Amino acid sequence: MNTYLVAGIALVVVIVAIIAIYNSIIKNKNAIERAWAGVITQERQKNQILPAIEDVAEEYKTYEQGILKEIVSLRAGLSALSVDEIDINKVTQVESRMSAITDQLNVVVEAYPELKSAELMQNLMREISEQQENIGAAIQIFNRNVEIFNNGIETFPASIVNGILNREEKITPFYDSVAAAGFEYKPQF
Amino acid sequence: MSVTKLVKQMRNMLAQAKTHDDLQAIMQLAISYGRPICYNNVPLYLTFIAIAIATGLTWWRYGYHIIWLIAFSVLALIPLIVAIFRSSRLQDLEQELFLRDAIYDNGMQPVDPPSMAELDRRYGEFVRGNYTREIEYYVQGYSEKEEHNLSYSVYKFHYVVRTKQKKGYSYSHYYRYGVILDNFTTDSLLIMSSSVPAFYPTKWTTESIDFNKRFKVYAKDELSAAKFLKPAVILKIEEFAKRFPKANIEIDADARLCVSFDTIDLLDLKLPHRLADAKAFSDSTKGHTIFSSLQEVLDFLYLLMVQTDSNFK
Repeated sequence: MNTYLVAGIALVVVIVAIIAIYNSIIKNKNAIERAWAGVITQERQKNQILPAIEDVAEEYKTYEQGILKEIVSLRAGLSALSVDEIDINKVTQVESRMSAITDQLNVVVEAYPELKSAELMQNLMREISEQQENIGAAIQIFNRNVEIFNNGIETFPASIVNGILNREEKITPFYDSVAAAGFEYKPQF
Repeated sequence: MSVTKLVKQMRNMLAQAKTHDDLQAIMQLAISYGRPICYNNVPLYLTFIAIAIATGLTWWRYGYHIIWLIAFSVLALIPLIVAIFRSSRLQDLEQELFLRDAIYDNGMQPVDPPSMAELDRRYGEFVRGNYTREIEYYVQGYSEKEEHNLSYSVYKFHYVVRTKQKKGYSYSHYYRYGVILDNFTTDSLLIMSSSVPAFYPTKWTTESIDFNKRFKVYAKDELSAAKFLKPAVILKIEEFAKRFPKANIEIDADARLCVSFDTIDLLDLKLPHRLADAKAFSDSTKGHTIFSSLQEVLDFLYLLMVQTDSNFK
């Protein structure tokens, strides 16, 4: 009788553990999707500052065409971003467009020093800097969630539960290949 | 003048002191005393040892009534208690003098704290304990920064939890430290890692698994919580909580922020010299003393404000 009781308790414990692992894999996957949505949301914040950048470009005609061209590309890139699909390449492209715009703005500021002290320009540069910081932070949060998720499906005993029940694939974290190109060191994974 | 009289006079002057000059007058008095300001407790310790040995030996040899043993033991303790008491009073004076100087150095001023009822009305943070509750210090300060000026108060909160035992009660003492900031960029929000009553109805979780494990968030509505908890803010709060244990951030309905935590006293300073060398003690107060932990908290709050304000006002 006692043997049956112990075996019964052990079975219940195992079932509860399996349910907990199964649920945690699902929760972590959802958290990744939400974190990705956070990245896209932050990227789309750029739409708010583009009119202000256009105003600056129009005022300084020499640089107008270059900046406006980048803005058109950036807008196209932003509208191609999707919350439903984790596409790291598209985010990288948007970031490189934004980086090109920021570079051009800096050239304008260098050419017209009085612009540097103008309130609109200061506010604009501050907003760009904060947005970029938030995008960086959103990507960091996304990558951390990915790490937790990947650990959750690859480590024992969760790997067994995932292999039989969840069948989730490992997710690739965001990787800045442009920034990585600047390093001689290449990690061997 | 004896050291005891001098210490008493200095304590009285310190109680009246309101400015840096008042403190300098106390330092000057200490220097002009001309001798080390410290107690020679050796005779008191020797008296204690002598009475204790005599009491023990006579009781062992003659075995008189236990009442006498207790009476002589109490007698033996008197010089010991006097030695400890007067040394601790002197140490308190040194600590208070140095602290007050550092407070004035930083343009701060001790003030009367708001009443506990007022704090309870504003924040869940102070609804702790079931016995004594008090604000041990409340010091106001002002810090000018590039985008926002911070008008703040630093406090130390002491509360006691009384627990019923088989015989009587036990009393556990706890301390929380924090900063209250006027005019924050949002209102009606609680981010807590140390459990307190939440005044706001909407529970919110962020996109960060790590943040959600550590903190619970309550706000007046989802929109205000989502607007405040931008990714950069989430990471900054996580980083802050690694340094300041059991951190809570609470913003009342009038946008007054209270950040609180365990164990790190924001006005804690180590004495570089003691009054035994009054000149060195006085010299050590001439430089600008920095409250490094307080500075960290203010920098953190400033970053939060910068991140959550509008750049196009």
